[in-house]
Parts: sequence; C-alpha cells; structure tokens
Amino acid sequence: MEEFNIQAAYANNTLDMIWEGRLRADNVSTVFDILKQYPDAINFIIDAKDLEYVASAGLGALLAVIKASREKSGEVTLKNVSKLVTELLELTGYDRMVKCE
Amino acid sequence: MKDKKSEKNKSVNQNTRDVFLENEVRSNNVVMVGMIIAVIGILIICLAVKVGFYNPTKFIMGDYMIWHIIILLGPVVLNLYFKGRKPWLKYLLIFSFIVILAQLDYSMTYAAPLLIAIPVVLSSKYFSYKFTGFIIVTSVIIFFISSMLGVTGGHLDVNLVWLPKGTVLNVDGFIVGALQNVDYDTGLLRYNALIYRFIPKLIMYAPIAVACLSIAYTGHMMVLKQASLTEESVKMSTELALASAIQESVIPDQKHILTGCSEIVVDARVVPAKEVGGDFYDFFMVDKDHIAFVMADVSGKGVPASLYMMMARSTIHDLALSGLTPKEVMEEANRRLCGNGLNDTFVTTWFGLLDLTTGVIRAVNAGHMKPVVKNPGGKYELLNDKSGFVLGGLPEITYDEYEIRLEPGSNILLYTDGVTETENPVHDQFGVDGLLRSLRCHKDADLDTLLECVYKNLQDFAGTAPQFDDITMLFVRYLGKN
Repeated sequence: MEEFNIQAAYANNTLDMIWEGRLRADNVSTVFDILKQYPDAINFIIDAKDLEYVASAGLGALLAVIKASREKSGEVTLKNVSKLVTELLELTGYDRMVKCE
Repeated sequence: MKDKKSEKNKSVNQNTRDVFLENEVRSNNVVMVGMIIAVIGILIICLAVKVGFYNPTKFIMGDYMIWHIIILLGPVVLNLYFKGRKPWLKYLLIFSFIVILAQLDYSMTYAAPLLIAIPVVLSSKYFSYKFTGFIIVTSVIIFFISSMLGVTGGHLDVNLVWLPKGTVLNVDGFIVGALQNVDYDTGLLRYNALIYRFIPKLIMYAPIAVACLSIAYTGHMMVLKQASLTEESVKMSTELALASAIQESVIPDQKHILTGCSEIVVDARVVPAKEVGGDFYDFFMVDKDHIAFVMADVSGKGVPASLYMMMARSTIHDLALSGLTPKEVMEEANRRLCGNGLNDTFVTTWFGLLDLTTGVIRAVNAGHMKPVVKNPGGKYELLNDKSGFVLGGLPEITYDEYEIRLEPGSNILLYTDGVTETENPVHDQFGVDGLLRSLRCHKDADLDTLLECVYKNLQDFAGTAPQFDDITMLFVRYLGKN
C-alpha cells in the first residue's frame, strides 16, 4: 500500500487536516474514516504541503469533502498545494470548487 | 435457483474432499517417516542390548525382531505402493505403529512413558477430530494392555516391587538383578503399576490428547473455511471474466459504425489495470453528417468504477442521440449521474461532436485530459481547451462549449490520465511532455503505428513499475469530405 498519512484537529466546526504522501485508491479510505469521525464539520482546511500525488480516487475523496461542506454552506480550503497537484486541480475543475491559498 | 445452490455445494464439497485427500496423503507420509525412524530406533536398542550396552532384565523385543520390522515396514511398503491414496492406509499405518510402540512400552516399561503420545500427535496431522478421538481411545486400551503385561514380561521397575519386612537382598550391581531370585507378589506389582505408573502416564497423556484433538478440530475447520474461500475466489474470477467480456462488448465496432464514412479514420488502445476498468471511449454517428466522440475516466478502479462506467457511457450515448448540443448533453448527463447517490465517484469526460463536412468539432471538457492535435504540416500540440468540473460531481455545474476546426489530414488524440500518469519505479510520471515527445517522433506514421509506439514508450518508461491505472487512447484522423 502506498504511504499516505492524515492528521486531523477539530475545533469550532472546522476540521483542520494535514494530508501527506500519495493519495490513491488503496489508501483513500483513511480520508473517509476521518470524515465519519467528524460528521458535524462544516469547514475543512487541508494542508497539502507534503501531498505528493493524488489519483482519481483521491479526487473522489476530495469531492466527498466538498459535498460535506456544501451541504452545510461551508467551504474547503487547500493550503500549500504543490505544482503537480495544482495542475491536477485546474485540469479537473476542482480549483473552482475549493479555496486555494 | 435451488439447482444452482446445490451445484455450488457440490463443488465446495468436492474442493474440500480434494484438500482433505491431499492432506491425508501427506499425513500418511509423515506417519511413514515416523515408522521408519521407529525401525531405526528399535534396531539401535536391539544392538545396544546385543552388545551389552543396555541390559534390561527382560527384553522380549530382540527375540521377535523380524516380526516387529515386518509390522512396521509392511504398511510403509503398502503406503509407498499406493502412494498414500487409499482410505484404509491411515488406519493401517497408525494402528501398526500403536502396536509396535505398545510393544516397546511392554519391554521398556517405565523407561519410555510418553510412547503413548506419539500416535495421537501424528493423528492430529490428519485434521480429522473423529480419527484423532478414535486413536486416543485405541491407544489408551492397547497401552493399558501392554503396561499390565509388561509388569511381569518387560523391564522390571524395582520401585513397584513390594517386599515383606526383613527381606534381605543380595546386591551385586543393579538392584534389579538382586530381585531375580526373590519371590514377590506379582498381583500387587500389577496393582502398583496401575496406580503409580499407568494412571500418572494417563495424567501426562490427557493434556497432550486434548491439545491434539484441538489441533485436529481447528485444522479441520480451517480447511473447510479455506475451501469455501477458494470457491468464492474462483466464482469471483469467473464473474470478473464475464464482466470484462461485457465491458469489451461495448467497445465501439469501428467497421460497423464507420461503414460508408470516408471522412475519418479511427483507432484505439485500451489496457485496463485490472480485469475491469473505469476508462471508456465511444464514438457513434449522431446523424449522417455528425459523429460523436467520448473519452472518459471514472474515478477509482475495479468493479465499482466499471459499473459506473457502463452507466455513464449509456447516459451520454442516449443523450447525444437525442439531438442535444454537446453542452446540453453534458449538463443533463451531469445531473443524471449526480442523482445516483454516490458521494465520491465521478467521471472526467471529453465529449466532441464532429461535423464531417466542415471538420468543426463542438466540444465540452468536463475535467478530462486536454486532447492532443496535429494539423497537416504542423506538430502535435496540446489543445489548451477550457476544462469544467468533472461529470457526476455536483448537480448545479454548467459547462462551456468550444469549437475547433480540423483541417483535412489532421489528427486528434483523446486519452486518459493512465497515459500521462504512468510512473517509473522512482515515481516520475510519463507526463504530457512524454506523450508529445513520443508522438512527435513518429508524426507521419499511421494511427495504429502511432498508438503502438506510444504504448511501447510507456512500457519502456514504466520499466518494472506496476501499472496502476487503465490506459486508454483514441486516435482520430480527419480526412475531409472526399
């Protein structure tokens, strides 16, 4: 299994996460596990400084995050996104669905 | 339905029987090896007695050596002859082994208290708790008889001999030697052997027997579970092969679709990462002047992605045939796919409608890889089109439609990210640059050669790295109206 780590901190309806490694189909369940742990989260902040690669299944996880925030009129913020991941977000139109910092 | 269930049970039972039979053959061989070791052991003991190294008061074994060896080696020969594949062999092997071990117990009495455990330990290897239970009971009965007979017939245990007060022993060497000329109560000796030797032996034997019974039971259940899992796995493989065939059946039939259409030439390559994949391409005549092209990639992999792929393909196909514009097709397809209740699945899609008379493509890109285009005399370039959000993500999304004009002789390549994201062992990606380099090296080749070259370059680049994603490419050459 590809190495992917996720750290999460929850406060004031905001789920602050750090995504590290390579997010693929075989490890994407870790994201869904975190989402299940914090069903009341409205806003999501993802620090992607060490996120090396996102496969389509990883974008599926990001879509689930976007849907979870939109249901409650929240927002998703991505921080420190690498060039490779930025290109992927632009290509797939995700850059217009999340706030990139 | 009932018949199918019955067939499945039959199949599982057959698999289970096969596994047990294979295990029985191996276990027979293990017992056989044990018996050969026992023969060697008996020979060594007899030799030790013969040369005086070991000197029991009574040692009946040496007198009947030939019979012991026949009893042991007979079943060994039969096992070799039948290759362990007769159901009665295990009874013959273990039973004859018990007899010989009991004979040893008879001769050696107190010197080898755990001989009784050997057949039981070996029987657990058969993973049949009924057989092990049978051996436990049989061993106790036979060893009881051998123990009781061995009291007077075997090596005398001086600790069990009761002598009246004042008895004088004339000892010269082992104490046992001094008892040879003394009268003692053999009935009491047998009673003492039962109380002080056989029952303690049984107490030692009991936990070993229980453990062996447990091993046999656990092994039995594991084999049953393994057989069931194997059956499920075979069933799954068969169903996957069927699903793969169904997926292949929806690949457009070029000859059929393009019959009478001389304006274009089409060629494609699909290399799924698993048995079934989430990539798909499609092309079909919308009317006599327009042909639609679709290239798409469902998020995720395997069976879920392939099911979503079938749904997305038919949705887009049906909408396109209803005469909608590309923008309308994609927006309606998006709404329909969003209504499926799946939270994390989407499909990146490029949809284009080519006017065969003018060479104009009206297209919509829903988060998909940008096409590569080459005009006559030009080189392969990435089409910098405007990409919208993926299809099936959010229902309120709208898409922008754009146009490109293909000159006669132009090529357009549609592909999925399995091409550009092919990785080498150190996780470098082939990339769009790799794809363009590959195409530019063979710019004037026919479509089949181009696809073959790109795929070969991908394989060379990946080296030993495994293929993680489906690889799909669709090449279209526009020849123009006559």
